[in-house]
Amino acid sequence: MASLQLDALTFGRAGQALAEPLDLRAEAGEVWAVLGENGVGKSSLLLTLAGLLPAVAGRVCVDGVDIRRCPRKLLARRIGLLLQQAWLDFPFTVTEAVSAGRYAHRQGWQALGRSDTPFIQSAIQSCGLEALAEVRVDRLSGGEQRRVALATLLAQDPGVLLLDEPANHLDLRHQARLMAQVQRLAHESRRLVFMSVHDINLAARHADRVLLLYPDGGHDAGPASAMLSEDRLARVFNHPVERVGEGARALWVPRSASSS
Amino acid sequence: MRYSSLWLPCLLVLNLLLFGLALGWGSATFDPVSVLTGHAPEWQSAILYDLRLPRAVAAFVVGGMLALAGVLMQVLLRNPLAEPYVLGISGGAAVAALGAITLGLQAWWVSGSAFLGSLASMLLVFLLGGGRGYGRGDRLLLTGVVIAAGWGACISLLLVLGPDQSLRGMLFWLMGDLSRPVAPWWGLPVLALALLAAWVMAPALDLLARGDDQAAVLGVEIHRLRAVCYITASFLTACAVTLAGPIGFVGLVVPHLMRQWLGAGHRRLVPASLLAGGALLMLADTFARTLIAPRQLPVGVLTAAVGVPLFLYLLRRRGEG
Repeated sequence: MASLQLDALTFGRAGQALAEPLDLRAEAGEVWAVLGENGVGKSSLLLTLAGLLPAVAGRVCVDGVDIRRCPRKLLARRIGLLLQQAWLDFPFTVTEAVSAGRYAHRQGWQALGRSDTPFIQSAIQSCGLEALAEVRVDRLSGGEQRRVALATLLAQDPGVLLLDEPANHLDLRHQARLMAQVQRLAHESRRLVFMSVHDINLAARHADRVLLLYPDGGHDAGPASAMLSEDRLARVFNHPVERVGEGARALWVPRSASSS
Repeated sequence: MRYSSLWLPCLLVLNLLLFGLALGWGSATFDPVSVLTGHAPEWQSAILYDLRLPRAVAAFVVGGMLALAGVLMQVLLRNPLAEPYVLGISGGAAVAALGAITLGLQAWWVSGSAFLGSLASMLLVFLLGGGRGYGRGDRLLLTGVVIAAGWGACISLLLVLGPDQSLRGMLFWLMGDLSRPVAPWWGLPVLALALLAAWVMAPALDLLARGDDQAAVLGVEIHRLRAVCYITASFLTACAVTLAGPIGFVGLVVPHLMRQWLGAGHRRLVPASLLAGGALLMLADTFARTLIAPRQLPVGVLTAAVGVPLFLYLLRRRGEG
């Protein structure tokens, strides 16, 4: 079963820590949301978890294996990342681009095996790309390219899925589809989804657990219901927020600047 | 489907035809098949084996090397303007070759120094611009471009300071032509090895085209791939420059043409570019030595004459598409 464990992890850029050491354990079947202001280090955290950015201190274990000790190909079978920006301007077709997700699973010299086809097809379907399958990626819009990147991650089929601002650039319909997909991945396929978002409502509606990154470098992690409170969120965003409505329809909104 | 599975036979037949043309056509035109089967006069087989065959092989080898190096450079630097010479490899070769000409050394030494010069330049750019860490494509490109500019200054200096009698030889070297190689055979195994390396790398190159970070999370050992890609491309360029001097446009135009035709998948792009590059240079060289025969044009002039309008046309079509 997929799991992600951070032991006193200090992450940051160029050796500069962005937050206090972080201890955390996330298990298969959970949807995690990371909330924080711009520049607080959400993306750096995800890049560190994927092994693209060296940890300043501490370590990250995926399925109990230290990611620094793991060759990239084996790591790519355990953990995948949807990057915030993935622009592809080489003339691959959508199918070719999505097939790249199977690279970590390939064996021998063959680029693709017969067993890869169902993964690619179902990834294309779940991102609604069937009609675009033979279209060249460099002719697509930003939102369509984003769906191609997501389909690539689904074809990769890792146990841990890191998503950096997955809802950016997506239309309403595709955003709803994506969030349903996230729920299915975690609760039915028993994957671990770890996503950074800047929309509190997305986290409130879809995450089981939340990691809050405060601007001063502190952090809190726990069940969504406990983490999403007015005073904690006000500290995260450095601005008062309030909850309006009841139950599943509740919405988090910023208080207007004048009334604070 | 934008392409058919016929691309490989198409390109092979094209190469065979152009090879026959390169052997048969010239200031004396004859049937190369009759020479090969031994039914032709002595002077014809002398022309064929001593002059045209080495030259046609050199054209194919150099064209293939440059086109393959161009494919690798464009994906390594993720820049459509990248070509084999962009990182200063031809500059290093030129400085060393012109230095050897200035000293009045023999042709063999000129080629040898060109090879050593390009290897030195390749090492210099790699040490200064390589480095570890992700997203370093820009640094490699900028380092290479600056070093190329430095070599350019050295070339000007050598042209100014060099003795007058060697000036013409220097200019000819800088234009690049295929009349020099007498034994280009060693280029064939080099080209075959590079093709094998690029073919093995091809699935990883498809991922590299999406950026270092994306390739790494999809399972590519990015530092190793970048290093192998750089070394293969540079070594091919060094060999091509050693054989024929810097011949422009093949390495820039052919990969773009093939990408338009066959898409960006490197399992097709790599062999297709090699064959198309070889074909283009064989054709250009046949014209170079026949258009104003018995005088010869530098083949670089012809590749530019074909390359510039073709490239501009492609650019416009891409803008409209």
